[in-house]
Amino acid sequence: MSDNSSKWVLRASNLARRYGSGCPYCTTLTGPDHDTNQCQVCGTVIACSGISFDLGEAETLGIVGESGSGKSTVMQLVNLSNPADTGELWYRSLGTSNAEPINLLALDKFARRVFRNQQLGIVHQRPELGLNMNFTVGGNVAEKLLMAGWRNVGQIRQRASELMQLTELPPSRLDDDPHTFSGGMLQRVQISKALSSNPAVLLLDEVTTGLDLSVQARVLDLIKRLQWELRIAMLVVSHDLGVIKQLASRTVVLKNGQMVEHGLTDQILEDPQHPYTQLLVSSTL
Amino acid sequence: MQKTVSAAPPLLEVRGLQKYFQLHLLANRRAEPPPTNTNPTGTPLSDTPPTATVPTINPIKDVSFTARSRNVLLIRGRSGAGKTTILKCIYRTYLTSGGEIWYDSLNLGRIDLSSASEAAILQLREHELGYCSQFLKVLPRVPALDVVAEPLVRCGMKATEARAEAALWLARLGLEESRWQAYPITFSGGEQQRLNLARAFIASPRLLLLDEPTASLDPHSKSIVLEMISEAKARGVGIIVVSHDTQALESLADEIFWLADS
Ligand SMILES: Nc1ncnc2c1ncn2[C@@H]1O[C@H](COP(=O)(O)OP(=O)(O)O)[C@@H](O)[C@H]1O
Ligand SMILES: [Mg+2]
Ligand SMILES: [Zn+2]
Repeated sequence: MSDNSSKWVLRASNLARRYGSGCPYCTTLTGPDHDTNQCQVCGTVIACSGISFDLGEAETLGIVGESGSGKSTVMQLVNLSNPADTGELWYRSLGTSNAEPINLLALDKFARRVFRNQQLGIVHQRPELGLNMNFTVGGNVAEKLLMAGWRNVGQIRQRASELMQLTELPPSRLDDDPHTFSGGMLQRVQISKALSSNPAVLLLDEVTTGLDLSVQARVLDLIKRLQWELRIAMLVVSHDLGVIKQLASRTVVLKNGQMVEHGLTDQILEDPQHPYTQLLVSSTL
Repeated sequence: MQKTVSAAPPLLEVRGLQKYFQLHLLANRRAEPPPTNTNPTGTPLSDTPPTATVPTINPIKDVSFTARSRNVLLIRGRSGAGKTTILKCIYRTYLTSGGEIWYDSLNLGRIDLSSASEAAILQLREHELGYCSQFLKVLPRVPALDVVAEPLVRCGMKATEARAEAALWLARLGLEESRWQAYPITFSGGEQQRLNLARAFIASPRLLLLDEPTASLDPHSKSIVLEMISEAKARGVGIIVVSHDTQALESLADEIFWLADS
């Protein structure tokens, strides 16, 4: 999946995260072949392991798998909000020519936080995870901008109302309480907040899951429009191949914490190789 | 740049192409390998690998052909002979099981499409390869005009300009203007086919793969498509057309490749 000639922004190499003390049998007793991510000997959960992929410039990469397969864990590792046990996460700034890639996991805590605030934006399935429900909508956007180093209140408000327009929210509701927003609108607020600092990578974790189908469709349409207008790199996680099909040019399939297959999205859909992917596809179409 | 004076390599060279599909699921149930037969001493009777028991379909066993720029190659064969499979292997919608597919790329040099990186394939699809599918494959809730304009936008053209160009192609193919803002999912077979064709031709690829491009068209639309094919050929495009109804296309073909039943 790696290609040195291609323009990648983010390169994950062998990322792994486990919960538990670990034992010599963990790796041989877990994974898709054993249909579990939990070691029978010591009880350790291998939430994900051996995760490697490139995310290209302006590209959307999909990660699909059933609940518990490790998708959110991969997202958290990339978001630098959960420490990886092993592996590397390389970032290459495409703005500056010949910028040397940096391994984000080797940064100190402070530098990691700065990077997250400036270059990453994340949208969660549950709005409470991404928003402070006690702040107004504008306050939520301001929070991220302040952390990214913005100081001018007028500019922050200006940016917040721009983002509301971009995500098709009425700017008049800038000072409203998030509790008065519908589920679909809250996802737009999360997207506004995530995009506020003009990040290099947008992370979307099950953003349409649980929404009514018509609302889902409109949020997906918004994301597609942002792909075109912002040409931002996106990592999209979903258990739903239908969502991945609409958004991603390439797809990684996860099962029990491991990658069982990766490929161009149309190839994954039309010529799935792994039994699990074949099952996923046959249950989607 | 190559300094040799000999003829340039062909645009596409397919060598010993094989494709099989392993069906791990039958009727939604995981196909389990039957228990291995063992003789009384406990050794297996045959040494076939366990994967051999997964049901397998093998439409393409050993196919080789060459396609050139400024040429139309017509692939003929019975329905079910594997014509679409070949095109999908070239476009990498299908993974190749054996053999090589050498493409002489403008940007990437000579490259084996069966093993090239995903990023390289995406780049080639954007700039060099065009594919017109037999069936409609578009995203929901995208109006017809935007479906056709999309490949140009992907190459960096402004949306308004791309739509203007898309309108020219749709008009030429005789798709009624009242349909341009409609969602293609509601289109008739012939309308969908004209949409697919417009989308394949618009980005002027170097290698154009056409799957039954005239199958559901009326005679007038058919003649326009034939015109479009010969224009593309005159511009230097290499074209591979797959068809079982060949009356119309035979006159355009520079070469015919017969695909035997497997
Ligand atoms: N903090 C944690 N402690 C223990 N186990 C966890 C923790 N977070 C996730 N897991 C386990 O890791 C596995 C992967 O979880 P997750 O990444 O949330 O999957 P997904 O997002 O694909 O549903 C699951 O078995 C889950 O129970
Ligand atoms: Mg999750
Ligand atoms: Zn263990």
